Amino acid sequence: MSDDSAQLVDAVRYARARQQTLAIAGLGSRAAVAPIADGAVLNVAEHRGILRYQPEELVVTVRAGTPVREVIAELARHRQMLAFEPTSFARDGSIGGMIAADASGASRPFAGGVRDALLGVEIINGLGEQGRFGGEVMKNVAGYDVARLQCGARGSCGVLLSASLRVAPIPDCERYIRRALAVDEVCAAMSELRSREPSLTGLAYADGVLQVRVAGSEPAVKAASARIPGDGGDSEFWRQISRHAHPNLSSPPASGGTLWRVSSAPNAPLTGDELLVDWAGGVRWLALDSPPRQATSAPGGWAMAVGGNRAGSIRGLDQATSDLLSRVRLAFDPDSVFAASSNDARGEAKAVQG
Amino acid sequence: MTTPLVLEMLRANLPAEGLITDPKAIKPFESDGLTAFSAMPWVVCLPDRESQVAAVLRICREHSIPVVTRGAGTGLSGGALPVAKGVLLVLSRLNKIKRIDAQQLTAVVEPGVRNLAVSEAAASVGLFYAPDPSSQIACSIGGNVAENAGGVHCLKYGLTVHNVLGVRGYLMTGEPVAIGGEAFDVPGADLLAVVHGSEGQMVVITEVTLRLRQIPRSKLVMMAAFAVVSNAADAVADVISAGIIPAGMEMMDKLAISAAEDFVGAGYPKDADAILLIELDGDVDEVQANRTAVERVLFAASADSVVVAESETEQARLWLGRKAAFPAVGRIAPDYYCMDGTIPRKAVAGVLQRIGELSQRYGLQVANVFHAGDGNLHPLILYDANVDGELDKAEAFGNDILAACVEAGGSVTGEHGVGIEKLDAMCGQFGRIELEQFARLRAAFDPDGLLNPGKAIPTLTRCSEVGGMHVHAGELPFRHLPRF
Ligand SMILES: Cc1cc2nc3c(=O)[nH]c(=O)nc-3n(C[C@H](O)[C@H](O)[C@H](O)COP(=O)(O)OP(=O)(O)OC[C@H]3O[C@@H](n4cnc5c(N)ncnc54)[C@H](O)[C@@H]3O)c2cc1C
Repeated sequence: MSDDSAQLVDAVRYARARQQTLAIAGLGSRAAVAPIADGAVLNVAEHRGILRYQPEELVVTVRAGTPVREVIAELARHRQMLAFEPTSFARDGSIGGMIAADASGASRPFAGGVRDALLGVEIINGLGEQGRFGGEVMKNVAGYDVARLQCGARGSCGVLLSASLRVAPIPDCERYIRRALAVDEVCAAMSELRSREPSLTGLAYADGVLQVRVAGSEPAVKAASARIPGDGGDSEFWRQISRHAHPNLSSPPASGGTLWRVSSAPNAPLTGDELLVDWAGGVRWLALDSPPRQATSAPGGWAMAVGGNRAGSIRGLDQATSDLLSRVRLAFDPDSVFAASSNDARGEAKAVQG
Repeated sequence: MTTPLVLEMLRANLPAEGLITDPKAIKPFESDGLTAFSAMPWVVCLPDRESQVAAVLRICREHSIPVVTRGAGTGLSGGALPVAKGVLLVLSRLNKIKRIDAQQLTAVVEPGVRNLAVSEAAASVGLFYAPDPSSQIACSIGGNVAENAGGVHCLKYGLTVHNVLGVRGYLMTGEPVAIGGEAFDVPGADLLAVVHGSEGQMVVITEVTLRLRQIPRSKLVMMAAFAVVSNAADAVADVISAGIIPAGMEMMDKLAISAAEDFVGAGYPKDADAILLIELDGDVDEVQANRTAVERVLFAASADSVVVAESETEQARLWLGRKAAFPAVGRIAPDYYCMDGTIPRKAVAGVLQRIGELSQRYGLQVANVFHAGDGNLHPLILYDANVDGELDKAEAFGNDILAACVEAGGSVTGEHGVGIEKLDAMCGQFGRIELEQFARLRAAFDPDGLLNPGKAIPTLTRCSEVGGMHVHAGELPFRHLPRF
């Protein structure tokens, strides 16, 4: 438990006055797949600790450097969990890194992601000013939603100091079902399940097997597992994908090329080359020699390289949105004190042209 | 500059009858749902195509004419209040449901589509759109996004921001933007979230991709009556602590109960001090298991009675009183002023008591109808605008309620937005750094500040004047309070 906010504010002001750039670093757990930018390192990892947690309010407020697993363990003591499923890599990450990287796991299409659970943040902007946005209450439309804006911003809109996140009761019961399926039947099977099963928390496909996870109250899970065809599975597959440890997600891919994560309409046809399909079809992992094109053509589709020398570069952003992202970044950091990690707004603009 | 030439340019880019210049015809647009404020715009534009929206914006930008976007005009904070010498851009004619995709669980709609129309259209394929503001028969999806509207079922299913996958629209420059779409996430900083609740100051929204959900297999509605308000408030926290998230959990106090009962005869107990309405949904067995658990919690919290409605008609009747609560209160007083503060659940009992004390002090009655599960209060302050000074008194009472919400760790608005109405209250919730940051963020979308000017975010000058009015030495009101 330590409060480093005053030092962090000073560091940002100091860097700004000297026109230096700062690379914001948490616990460095994602460095291998999305490298931290060049620049003097601003270390947030020591700014840690759970500030407020009242189980009956379903909210926890934590400093940004706090390890995610430490928060999960504390919540579990009260039979609660973060209201979404965070992903991590082999090493534990920080709460700030989780928000900045929008690390939302397999339950994203069903229970929502980081942004859906984020209620408020405290940040330092590029002017070295400390501000508080959102709060700890469930509903709040006072002022623009600067808190949720931080999700996926990778530090381009300020240094996260603390965050208030919604928590939820740990479901009484969780079950896993698996079934062999041909690739051309996957989308239809997934959308059919999604449109009739309310207790889904995971729907994925890898190595010719459809993987289903359901969670909730005992009666709900029992009813769902009776309806869903397939054999009983185990939690190992889900543990592997939530830690990015599934063999199909290794980077560089065994088959060569670069590992790409493609976010798409869940129903967009699969090519058969997917290493793994997650998020009920909304995320596809591919090993490619050149950046994906067709997969990002549906409205809102986009792709990001994970690891390799293109790490962090993004495809699928149109020029107008990319320019808007750059202007939003400048609204928080007018003098560009925060260094671009390769996939923030500046990287994106380049990626679109390149 | 509003010149005859600009008028002709607008006319050339709008459908026949799409440009209203006659003051008599403009009059119905002078206010939104916050009728205490009104202003006449220069003209009203009613495009029926997206390209016309872009054209109107380009013309206005070029001639520095402010633009206020309006959906259905049901907003309760003056967000769609016109600006004198400005254009009121009304999007109610962009009202097509373009697509309901039963496979992908999405609906693609134009902004003028009414909220309820989406669920009506999706029902045939077993789906619904979850956010359901009480105004859902009338309010538009564009307005819902701009206010981040909530509703009775948001406790379980989230607010508008949690149920929208993408928006398309135009910046004030007329430049098109597309944020999100059919995928579940967006690249980079979450611009999709920022557009929600931006009160028409960032993007004029012309298309929204909504997320639909399956209609639950089973549901039931419970009504619990309490002799003591604070017991009802505690019961709300107890249900949540028991690990149950109902689809909705609403509370009404004595005055609201009797107004609603007299109006629609929902079967509410008029002798109760408070009632809770709780909806449970899900699989059949799950709903029955939760029902038993919730009943236990309610009786443990000293509920006098618990009524369970299983049939659709009975359920609709119990909800009817809640849904008609605002108009019901409208019948018992010439005017009412609806507040929208949010507080942590544990503070509900305390803040309700404080509201009761303030009611005595101001000599104005107050009815409480609210989203209890979310800690979102809607105190309705009863007054008579024809009595000299009562409006001012009601506003002062309202500001004291909002101060109590901020003091309890809450916010001055949960779902109705700041608009023109809560600008002063914003000065109590935020300081200079936040307000300046908001202004810079807005400028990233609209550098000239022509979209819905003077709303949502107060200027620093205004805040220092407010401070000077209410407290000594130019201090901002409730400055000592944590700014949440
Ligand atoms: C009886 C009653 C009950 C209500 N109950 C609820 C409730 O339960 N929950 C709740 O959240 N609200 C409630 N409201 C408030 C109101 O209905 C909502 O705020 C609603 O979202 C407003 O939609 P609208 O189409 O009427 O928007 P308007 O009032 O027309 O506009 C509201 C704001 O949105 C902007 N806007 C509108 N359309 C667009 C667009 N296409 N692009 C960009 N900006 C746009 C406007 O500029 C304005 O700032 C209630 C109102 C009434 C009268």
